[in-house]
Amino acid sequence: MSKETIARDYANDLIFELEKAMWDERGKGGRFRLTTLGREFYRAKCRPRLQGRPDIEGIVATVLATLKENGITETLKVEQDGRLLKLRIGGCLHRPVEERMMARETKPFACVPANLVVLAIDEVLNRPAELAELKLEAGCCQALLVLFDERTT
Amino acid sequence: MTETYSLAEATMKVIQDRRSIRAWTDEPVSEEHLALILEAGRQAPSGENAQPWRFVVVKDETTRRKLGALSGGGSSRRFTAEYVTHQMHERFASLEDEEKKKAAFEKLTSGQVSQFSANAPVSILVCGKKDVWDMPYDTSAAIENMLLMITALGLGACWLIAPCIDIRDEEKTKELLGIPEGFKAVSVISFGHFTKQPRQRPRLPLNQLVFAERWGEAYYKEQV
Repeated sequence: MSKETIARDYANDLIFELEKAMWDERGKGGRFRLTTLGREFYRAKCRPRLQGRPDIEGIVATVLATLKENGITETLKVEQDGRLLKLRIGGCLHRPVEERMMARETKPFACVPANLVVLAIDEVLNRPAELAELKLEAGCCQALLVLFDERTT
Repeated sequence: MTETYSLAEATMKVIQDRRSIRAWTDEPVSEEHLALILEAGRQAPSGENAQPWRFVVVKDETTRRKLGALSGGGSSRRFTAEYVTHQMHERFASLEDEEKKKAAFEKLTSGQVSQFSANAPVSILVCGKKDVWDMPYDTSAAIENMLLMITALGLGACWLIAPCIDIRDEEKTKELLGIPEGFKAVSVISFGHFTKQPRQRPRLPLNQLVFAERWGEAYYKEQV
């Protein structure tokens, strides 16, 4: 990854405009076209660190460490209740994107940290997962994921 | 007794008779019928006459099964997400029969609702060339044309987006059927000789749908 950086506001403005354009064009179904958003980052930064077959907790810890090292989020807390996985993402640099979506009466529908966890669970554990809900709370975002059984084929 | 219709009446009858049919007999679809269905798709309108549609006819049992599994997986994820966030409960709030509601939830969240391609004698994957201006609209017109021809032939079909709507599933569908990068997997139409004709799903009345000159002023004051 290039060490050169661009202004955070500029990057988030572009992401907001692209997400909004996706929503305006595709409506609620737009979220299904952004389920792999962050995959290049996942492949470059997370995948090499996911050695062996870590459990869910281990996967989330690895994704968090990668996100923190790259200055993307500060915290990622996980709470599992059966097949539901609640992620609380704090200090995310993309938070202004979601706030601008809300200001335009559009529920946020894409989350890179949540996508990274979904991609990792799918690849490492061969278990599909789905981002069911994204909520903005004071100081953090809450992503609700659903876990499915390991694929048999 | 043979019924006779004007062209407009016959067209409306085909439109109104179309249903989403998900269960078929084993009877194969004839090549003559298949050719008519594909021809109906080919005759659809497209921006700049780009004709971006391409059709993959799937009859092979193994491929059908894989397509059914992909569709079921996609639907299961989508509807389970709806279920756990209670959006599904809101959608079915008017259904009072708890047993029926439970069965509907089970059918949706398990993905059974979309696995029917595995049992369809024929499925057509509709693909769209990306390097044209209006591909999603063009291919949707081709799909509707084919659905109407299927109905006119006395067959039954269901338009299925489950194996294509999520980018993760679309990638797998494209891989399964060898679709090149320059094309999008848009939808699947699964069809055959149906086992039963479901009732028509309700439609909103025109007086709730049509406005006069500007949004807001109903064109029809009463139900048409």
